[in-house]
Amino acid sequence: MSDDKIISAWNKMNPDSSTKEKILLQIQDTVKAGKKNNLTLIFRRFAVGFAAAAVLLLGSLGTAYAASPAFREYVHLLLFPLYTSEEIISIDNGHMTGSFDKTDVLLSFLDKFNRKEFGNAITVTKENGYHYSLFIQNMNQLLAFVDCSIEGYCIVIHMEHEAYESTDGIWQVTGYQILEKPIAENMKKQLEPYSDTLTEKITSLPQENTAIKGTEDSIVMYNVNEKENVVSINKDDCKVISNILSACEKSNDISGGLFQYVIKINDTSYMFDSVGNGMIDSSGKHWGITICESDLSVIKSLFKLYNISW
Amino acid sequence: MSYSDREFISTYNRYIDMIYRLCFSILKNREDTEDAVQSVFIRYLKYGKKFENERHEKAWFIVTSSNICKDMLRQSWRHNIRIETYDFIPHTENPADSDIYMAILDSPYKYKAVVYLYYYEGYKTHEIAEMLHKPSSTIRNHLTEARRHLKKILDGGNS
Repeated sequence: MSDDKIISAWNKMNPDSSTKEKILLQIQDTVKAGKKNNLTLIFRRFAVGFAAAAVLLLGSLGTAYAASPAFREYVHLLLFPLYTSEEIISIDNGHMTGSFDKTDVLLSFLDKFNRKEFGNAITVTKENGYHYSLFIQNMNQLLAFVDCSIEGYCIVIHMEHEAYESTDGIWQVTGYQILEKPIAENMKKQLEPYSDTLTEKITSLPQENTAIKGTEDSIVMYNVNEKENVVSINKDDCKVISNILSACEKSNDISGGLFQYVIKINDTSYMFDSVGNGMIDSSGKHWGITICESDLSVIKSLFKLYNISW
Repeated sequence: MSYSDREFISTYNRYIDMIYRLCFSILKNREDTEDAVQSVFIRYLKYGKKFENERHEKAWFIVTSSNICKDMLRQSWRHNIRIETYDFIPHTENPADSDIYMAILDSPYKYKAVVYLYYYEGYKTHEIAEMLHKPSSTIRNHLTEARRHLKKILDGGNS
């Protein structure tokens, strides 16, 4: 058996030209189909990725909706507006007539005062605008001391902040006094001058002292993960908690993470995360709250004392 | 790396005979051989790396072809193909040539690959060993056994 014979035998296996052409065409068809499949695959991957992202987004929104009252309120506001069209017109009218803003309310009143619409004999001074200064009488009341046309006297306007339906409330003039200037000056010394920041706090923060003092016997605490373990607090501990919550810093911004620890006083809930950032939820309104480190450790110990996990 | 149509057709023409021969010797029927050859070239197009030289490219085609054929043979329904069912038996003037052809087809895979690479492609035993990832001594043994096997078949089992 020679090598030539073996080679010759293998040569018999060679494909003919039509077979070669046929295979080449098949390869080209397969490659074209592959390219189409690749496009389909890319589209499918994109679709799957998009669907996954959408599911994740919906999941996140669902979690946020379940976990965050603030987010829940925002969604409700977006989907179910608080006001009917009639109410919106009424609110707009309020703004146009100066029924809501304290400055508008005051200036509208002074305009009317000078037109003697209240049967008054004197007028307030108006030189390049009215001359007045604002002082805070209490949480919901401002006093405006206005120069008037009678020398040695001034007019004190009493203004009060009232709740109005679902708005932040409205300012109203509830009365006025004509006082001698020395008496008015003495009054001013006992009051805190008005500032925008302070006023914002007055109008937007909860009246925590009233809320806490009135409910010392009805404070409960719990961990949101153990809602079955809601514990009532004894009177002495209530005082401690009241003092801490009264003293801690509040703001209009809510920061922090998972608000897991809850102290509930009647309808007001104080919710915190583990580092002392938290939120006050009172009748559906929300404010931020921050507990300092030393107070946080007291609250933490109380939680542990009442067998609530922290 | 992608190949232009011209490059691919050039490569195709250079190796189609070799790949077809090798695949046919293993698969022993035309349809499967065509499928295997097609798979080899598709794999080449997807390979995407540059070959060091033509020798490297040729070796890649040989190894890939034999691997693809082995994969196809692993499918159970192909195992027991009898020689009588071969659909590509050439008619030759000299019956002895036809006998060698049949003997090669009927050899075990390990023999025919070695025989083909040694006799037809002219590779040395150490090169075949490197290509098939086997020791040179094994390749030499396979060659000796393949010769003996072919001789035995050609002699009608009389030797």
